[in-house]
Amino acid sequence: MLNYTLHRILIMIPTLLVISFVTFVIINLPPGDYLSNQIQELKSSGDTAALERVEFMRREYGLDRPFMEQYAAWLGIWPGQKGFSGLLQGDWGWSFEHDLPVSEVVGDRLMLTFILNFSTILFTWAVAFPIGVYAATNQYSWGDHGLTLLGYIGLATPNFLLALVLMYFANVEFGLSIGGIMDPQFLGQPWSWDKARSVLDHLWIPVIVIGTSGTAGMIRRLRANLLDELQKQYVVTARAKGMPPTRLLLKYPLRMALNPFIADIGSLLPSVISGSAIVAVVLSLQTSGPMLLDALQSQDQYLAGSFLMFLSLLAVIGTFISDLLLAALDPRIRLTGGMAK
Amino acid sequence: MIAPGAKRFRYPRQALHSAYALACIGMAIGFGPLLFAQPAPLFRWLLGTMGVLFLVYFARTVVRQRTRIEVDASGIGARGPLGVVIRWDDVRAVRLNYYSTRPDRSGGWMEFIVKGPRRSVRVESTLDGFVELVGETLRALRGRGIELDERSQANLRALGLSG
Repeated sequence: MLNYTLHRILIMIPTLLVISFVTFVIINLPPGDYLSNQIQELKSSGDTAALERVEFMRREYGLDRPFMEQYAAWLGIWPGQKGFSGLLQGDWGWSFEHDLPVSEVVGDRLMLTFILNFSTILFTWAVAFPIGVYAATNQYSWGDHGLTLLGYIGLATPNFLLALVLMYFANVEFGLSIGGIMDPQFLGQPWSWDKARSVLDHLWIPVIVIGTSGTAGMIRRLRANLLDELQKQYVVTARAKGMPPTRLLLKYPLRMALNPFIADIGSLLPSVISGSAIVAVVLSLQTSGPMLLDALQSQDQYLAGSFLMFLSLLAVIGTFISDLLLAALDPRIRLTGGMAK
Repeated sequence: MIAPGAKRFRYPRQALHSAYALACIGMAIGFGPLLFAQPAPLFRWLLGTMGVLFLVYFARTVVRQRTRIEVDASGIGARGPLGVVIRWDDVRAVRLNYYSTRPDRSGGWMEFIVKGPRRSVRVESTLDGFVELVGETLRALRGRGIELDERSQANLRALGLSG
């Protein structure tokens, strides 16, 4: 396992470097930058003092330097105006649009996004796991057919549409406004019990909206995997030897069928932070998705770039963790693959 | 313990050189930024841990270079620094695992583990004569009540040996 772990770590490093480079290229692709756009506006209004300040910021953040130097300084592997001060040093840069350090702009939203999406993951697993096991162990029963139908409906319904429908019904039928992730009076306030309770009161709608399609997909995969395992020779042999069905199910097939849950960790980690931007816009949630969209639209390059890089780091770490868990759980050769010395 | 007529196996020079290169690259990436880029505390911990892991890997490669695996009628042993000998009667379990870092799980390597009462002999498929070693071990353990799990049996079949 040590060998495997180290090989995986060494694959992570170039992967992250390539992702960081691509991220930096993409956020620099549109002509000009945020400050260029600002300069145009200030020139047209004749505000020379502000123009000087913008020029100062351009030098301060190295926007007048060659592209590769900007990239290396942003990463923190090349000294900029303030010495080594980039992602590696924990400096996410400055949000030109909010006129604040990126870490301050992102701060509260990251926490709210984490709470929302972590709850969604728990909801997905808590619902999908028992239903998937039931559907596989009672194949072609009425329950299996009914749950399969529900699963297909869940998969086929876009999240934002479900959000709109729920908002409509909650408003028309119950007179409830379910937009937002907390009551408006708590926005921007420090955390308190009342604020936490308000978040919990609002949380269930986005959790159901975001979690439905994931739950349906997870049920389908768990059912298919478990059915596959249950038909294998070792299960038939154990059954023939008189092993109790529940013990048999829990001891091997279920463990093997857990692979997709573990493999999902890779994609779950970044979605815990970024997930469901469109749903967040529809439901007016104060999470990080809409903020990322705004940053990309306004070319707020440090905010967008640092945030994308953070998401990529989470994706790579998530994949690393899931690969380690999968290797520990099932270190078996796939006969379609080869084996080298 | 191991008789003079024992079969001996060693890691080939090329595999050891690759392992040294891997360890050096890892240590450079781990310790390098710590020396010149003053990373944030979180990254300092991450990079430091990574560097230490590769340092351990380097040390393990040195041990491997100086170790030879021996098999005879009485047991299996690793002779060298941190050496261990396990008599066939003391073997508790045998595993054959497969690892690959590619998504299609091709181009990976195997790890053969013979567990004794306290310590284990671990051998990777880069060893010269790996298949022969696995075959010899399984032959010696036949009839001693050691059962292979389903994963190990699948991996054995891929090696052309039956569990």
